[in-house]
Amino acid sequence: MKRLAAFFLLSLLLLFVQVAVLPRLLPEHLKPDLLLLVVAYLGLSRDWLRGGLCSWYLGALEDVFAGSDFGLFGITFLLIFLMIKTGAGRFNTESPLLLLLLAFFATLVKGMLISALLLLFAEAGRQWPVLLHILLPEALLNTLFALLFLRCLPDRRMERRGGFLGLSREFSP
Amino acid sequence: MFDLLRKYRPVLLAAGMVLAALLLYSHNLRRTEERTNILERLVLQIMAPAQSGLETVLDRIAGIWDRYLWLVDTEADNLRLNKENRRLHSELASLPELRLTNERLRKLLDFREQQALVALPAQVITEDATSWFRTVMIDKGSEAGIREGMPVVVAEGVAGRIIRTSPHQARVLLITDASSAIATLIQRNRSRGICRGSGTGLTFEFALREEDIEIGDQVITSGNGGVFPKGLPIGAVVRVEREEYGMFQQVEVAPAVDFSRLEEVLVLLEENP
Repeated sequence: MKRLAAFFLLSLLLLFVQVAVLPRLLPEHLKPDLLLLVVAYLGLSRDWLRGGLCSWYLGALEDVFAGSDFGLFGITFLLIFLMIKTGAGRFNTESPLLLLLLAFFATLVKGMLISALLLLFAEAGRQWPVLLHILLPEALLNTLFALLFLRCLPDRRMERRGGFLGLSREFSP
Repeated sequence: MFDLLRKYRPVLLAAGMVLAALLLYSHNLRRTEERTNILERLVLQIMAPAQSGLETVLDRIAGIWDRYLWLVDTEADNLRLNKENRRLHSELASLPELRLTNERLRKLLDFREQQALVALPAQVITEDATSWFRTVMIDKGSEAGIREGMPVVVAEGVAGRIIRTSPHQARVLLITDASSAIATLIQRNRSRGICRGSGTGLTFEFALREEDIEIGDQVITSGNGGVFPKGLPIGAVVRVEREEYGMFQQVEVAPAVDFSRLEEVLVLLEENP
């Protein structure tokens, strides 16, 4: 219960930083997606049900402050989680580079998924030129923030749990 | 049967969650009234004090920095001059900002008086959480009488419309968002068309090839569509392209509003709150 409450608080804190703090520090239209980094982490470390529900919730949080139709980021984050989870067993979870690569590619996939969903459901096909224009800078920015995220994590945790973020233990047969 | 379910549990769970998420998204797309759900209201209400708190803290830090910290070195040189210098500098620094604020508010007030509808002033507090959409959050919500669909304007012209409301905040879809479309007309020759957002600018769609549209023509709201009153400025034509074939010409419009400097807006209310 404590961990769940901590997760909710952390998600709100990250959302607050993303929405209210970082736009004051970064150039216009350059916004990192901190919640997406959490989804990438969940894809490597949590089971299908809990990770899926948490990713959906994080997407719903982003929906409150982004886009015009509620649910778009919810399904996008869920699909990204499922993709990472499907491939998680094949990744080298010992490598810290993994989260950086995931942050980069998850941003690209997010752009593609949002474009596809808008094309299929919302008749907002004109969104993709906007997405294409910003996709690469945002992917690089998210990678940079993933690097900061890794730097902020205490080293003791890696040693104690064996491997990068304790992932090797969770995925060991 | 249970073995089969257990074997395919992850696949079934994933499929179930994707289906539920798709249904929720699809359901929200089709809602026309009361589009703000409980989760959105809850999150907005939780975040509102933090956002206004951050504003206050940043204003205080900026105030301390501007008025005290950067003058510490000069104090050693001459206390009397420094004191006077600090006072004068503080006044001078605040004058341009006060003048600009005064100008903006006066323009808004003039504009407000021109409108037949009741206009509620509001402050922009945050932008969209991602760089892919064009929405902003304002510091007034349903308790101030704001409802979904209400037009949002500034002195220069149309800014957008309300898409979400909570008691103390509301979200505005800017006209430059790709999902925004407004019924408009060219002021000079009354050609009708739809102005759609393209991220940074606007495009004037469904303008027939033979219609006489020139660079510099002003685009205004047509009043059709039931959201914006007639005659509000949208922007000016900056590019016209007529291809050899096709029914329509391609017209680009530069918005009248500078969205990178959006600070105060007016929400046009339907009635007194």
